Amino acid sequence: MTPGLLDLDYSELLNRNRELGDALAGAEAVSAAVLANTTVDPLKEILEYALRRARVPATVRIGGFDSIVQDSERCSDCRIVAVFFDAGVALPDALAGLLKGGEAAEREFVAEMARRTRTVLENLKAIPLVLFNRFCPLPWTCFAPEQRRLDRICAQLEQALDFSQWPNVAPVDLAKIFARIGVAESVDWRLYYRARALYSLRFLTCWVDQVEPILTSLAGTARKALIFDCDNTLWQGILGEDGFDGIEMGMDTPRGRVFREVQQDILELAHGGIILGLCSRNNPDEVDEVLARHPDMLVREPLLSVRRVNWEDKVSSLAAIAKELNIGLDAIAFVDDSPQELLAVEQQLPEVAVFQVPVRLSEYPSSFRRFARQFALNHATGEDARRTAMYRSEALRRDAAGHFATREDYLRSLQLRIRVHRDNPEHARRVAQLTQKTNQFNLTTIRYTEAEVLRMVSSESQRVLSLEVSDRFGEYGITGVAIYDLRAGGRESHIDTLLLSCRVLGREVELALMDALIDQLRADGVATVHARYVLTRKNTQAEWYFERCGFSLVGQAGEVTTYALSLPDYKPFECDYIARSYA
Amino acid sequence: MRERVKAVLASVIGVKMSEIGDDASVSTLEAWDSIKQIKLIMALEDRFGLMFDDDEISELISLDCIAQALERRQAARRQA
Repeated sequence: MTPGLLDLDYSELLNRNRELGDALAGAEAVSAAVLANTTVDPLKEILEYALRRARVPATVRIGGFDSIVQDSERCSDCRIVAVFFDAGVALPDALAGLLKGGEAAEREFVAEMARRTRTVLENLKAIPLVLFNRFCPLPWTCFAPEQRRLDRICAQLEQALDFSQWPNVAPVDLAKIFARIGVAESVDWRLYYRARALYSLRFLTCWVDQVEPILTSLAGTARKALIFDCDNTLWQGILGEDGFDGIEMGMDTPRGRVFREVQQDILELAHGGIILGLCSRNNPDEVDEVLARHPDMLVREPLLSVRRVNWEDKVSSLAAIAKELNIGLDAIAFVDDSPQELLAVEQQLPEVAVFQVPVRLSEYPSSFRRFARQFALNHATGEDARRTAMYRSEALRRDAAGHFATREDYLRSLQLRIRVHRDNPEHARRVAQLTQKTNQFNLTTIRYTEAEVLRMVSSESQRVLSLEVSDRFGEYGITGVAIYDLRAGGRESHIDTLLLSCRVLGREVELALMDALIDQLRADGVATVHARYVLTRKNTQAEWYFERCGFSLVGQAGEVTTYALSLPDYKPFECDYIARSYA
Repeated sequence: MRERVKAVLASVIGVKMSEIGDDASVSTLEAWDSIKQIKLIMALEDRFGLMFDDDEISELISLDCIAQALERRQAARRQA
């Protein structure tokens, strides 16, 4: 693991950032830009470091001083743009006019700032992610008891702008960072009057730390599963010794309230799509009893996608959990109260993020919330709410699999159904999420935001197919994506993205997906389709795919293998145990 | 002290320590521009755990001057 932002001194960060840059050299660079009306140049390497840690080969550039509007027209190459537009810095230039012109002049100043902001955000409309700092007066006004002019202006700006009209914009609340480290630590007046560098190094570092979860979610490196120990972790006490009535997690005792609040936070995470599981050395029957019947228990049976309650060591259990959920160890976070158990996990499974219940118990909920920042930020989509149920039906399927003589008998018994949707804007959020999270069966691993998917959905020359899969045990939901474009008057097509969620792998849905894709290409009048397989650390299991589907090899350079297929030559798989339909 | 400053300077400017001569200054090192100067001040303060005064900041224009400013600080700290 590379050290976190807050653990490094600045020279060390500069060195590490260079090393990471060298290690990622050769990968296609991802551009990012920072536009500002203050001097924020030290942000360049800090932001690069955070992105490169998340395995994004980023290069950050800092825009010209105080030329946000002009610079925003020149960002089309960027995946990420951050905007530091500070009202307190812009105000002094206008102050003489404001003093003379009274309220009307102040309204005009606000209108002008809002106009410029809208222009900038419109110019940046096509950028996948725009981090826009909310207008915040605190560096100038936090010591004033009354509402100052700048307080008023920032409040009015906040009212005048509705950030939700730009789905690619993530507003950043500077007030939260000021609250974390204090205003005095956040601004550097020496460098402000010397070089317009308003923000201290500490502030800039905390700013990147604050937005890091957004960056890792976009990069697909955020964690997906939260696994808990039970005793002194989900509840106070040891079930085997204190018994069903002796453990505490209710409102009646101070300790109980601590564990109750942690359980409430866990519920929120589950609602946001994080997979929950138990990994505990305990008697399974006793734990089952608590899950089913304890009146104070909030994290209940249906929310738990996986359970390893036994007397095995935690390292083996966690490895088994990763396998069962079909996710990487680096997608797992584990919470336990035992330093020994956590040490063993840290040593033997260093990819797993571990959290120890603090010795000062009252700090458990707040420090757990800080830890939980590293989980993927999902806008709650319908998919997320259904996910737990889906991972559970998976357990039923696995049980069923034991009863069949051949694999085909088993697959046939599942009664698989796929439904193919074409350019459906309602699926855009889920499609973006799949591009961001899918690592294994993902042929090109291109990450998209919802705004980008929506643009492709409405484009004449691009098609976005979303694949809905179900079987007799339940719904898998939208679990496959194919994106392709049409060229040469529609005679040729390039496959941009082809992926399947790991939930549906190993059921020949891969093959049905290609049958469906070819059907759609034919409907578009395509004669030749080109495809790429881009090797990553995680997608080797998809290496065979295009060849198996009858594509011929065109070339290979570095990580990229290119293929082509003449549509008349395609031999469909026609798996008769997968029913296919088109929306 | 000089060597420790050199290490910070090398990180900020992006060159090997061996490429920084003892006479390094704003006028001898082309890459040492005004943007690097801000980063350098931040890096030095972070590494040595101090905050320069307004007047000191203006003096930090060569390896020698920086080493002297830091040594003055250390001497003052020892006396206190």
